[in-house]
Amino acid sequence: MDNVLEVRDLTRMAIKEVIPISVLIEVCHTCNENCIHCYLADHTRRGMTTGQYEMLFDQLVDAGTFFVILTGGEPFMRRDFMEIVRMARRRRISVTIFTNGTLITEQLARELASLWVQEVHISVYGADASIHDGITRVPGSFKKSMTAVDLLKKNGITVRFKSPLMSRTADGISELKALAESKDVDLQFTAVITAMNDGNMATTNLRLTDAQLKDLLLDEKIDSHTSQAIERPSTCDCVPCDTVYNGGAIDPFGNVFPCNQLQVCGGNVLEQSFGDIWSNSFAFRNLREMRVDGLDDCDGCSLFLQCTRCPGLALLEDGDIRGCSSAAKRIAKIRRSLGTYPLQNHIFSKI
Amino acid sequence: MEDLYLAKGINVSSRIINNVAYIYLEDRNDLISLNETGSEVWRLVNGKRRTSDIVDHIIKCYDAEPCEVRDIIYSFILDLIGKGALKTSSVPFEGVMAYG
Repeated sequence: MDNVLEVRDLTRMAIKEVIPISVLIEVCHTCNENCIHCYLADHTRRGMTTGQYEMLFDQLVDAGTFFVILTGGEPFMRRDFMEIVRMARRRRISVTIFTNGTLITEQLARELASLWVQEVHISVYGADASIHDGITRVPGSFKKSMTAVDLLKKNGITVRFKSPLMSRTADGISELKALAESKDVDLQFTAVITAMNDGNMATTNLRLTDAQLKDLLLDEKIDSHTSQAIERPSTCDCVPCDTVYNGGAIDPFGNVFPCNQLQVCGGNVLEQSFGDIWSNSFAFRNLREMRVDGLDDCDGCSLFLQCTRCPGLALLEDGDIRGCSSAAKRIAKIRRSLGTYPLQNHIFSKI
Repeated sequence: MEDLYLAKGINVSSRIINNVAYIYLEDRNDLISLNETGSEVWRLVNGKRRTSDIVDHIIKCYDAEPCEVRDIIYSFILDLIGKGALKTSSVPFEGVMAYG
């Protein structure tokens, strides 16, 4: 009566059936750290109420959502955050939490374990306090984050480090890898610091230098790559990004986006249901009609096979969702100089 | 098999999509999908129904020999209990366990 599957089978089915299988939920923008690279422009406004989250989770169940990522700001800044986690788990929605970990206590770690939270991802910027606290601008934050890692691991929770790479932290990558290994946690790097979500480009000054990228893009952990160009499929059945087919993002005020990096709002869950927004919003339907062969700047571009263009960044930083992403182009040029091709190429997402 | 209340385990994540139940066992990293009958059984599990309530419902739904259906459903439920996907209790479940 049952059949064993892999998660990617579920994701494939979701893309085919256009089901928002995975949704990222920012439960607040308030935070107890003040990171120099944060993409959020406003940390002050209050978000949805506990009761409104109850309604939202019912709507997500109706829409077919299987996985949620709960993030902030710092999600544990909400006094009702564990109630929000319980709401999701009561509906048997799989929960991953993105946090800095500084507010996690022994009791919270135990409760997260009892609710079978799938994973907790902790932001870590360096292997010691001098680097990490310099990024968070909160003395003592490294120590608290590491305490959280130990508490979560002790309670059997899968923990991952998330580390956005910056020019000032790049020299400490080996030590960070060693720290992750010593804690027995996986480590995920991000090579691109994005602009702030209000279009302020100040944070992009923190990005890795070209010289640093030349070293780091050869690291499989940072850029999964091959030395052989993959066969170029027909672009007419490829979409610039598949997120609008199988996932979404909701900000603390109920606004629904395809992704927290693609600031095209489909509607607000306080005004209409998530399912209605997902299926019927003009913005989302329009995004689903985009194809790679409709991207004028990509047509004939010599960097096409080495580019991991993100439509959200193209819109946010370069002002045109169908245009060239300068951040992606910079990295593609470095890949060309290295003779590498990315394995995870969003531009080739087939539907 | 004792007639107990059934609930979806808290170690489970699941969703019914297009009448197919997908069940992810968080403790095993296993994902399974159920066939039509299995999905209907899964839908009925809510912490408030007993095994017999679910079996009776399935017998009504399908034009088949009741004894045969009962054996198949009991065996299926025992299999899910063995995998940790279903929990049993002599009293109705409450809190995070009561949902379906």
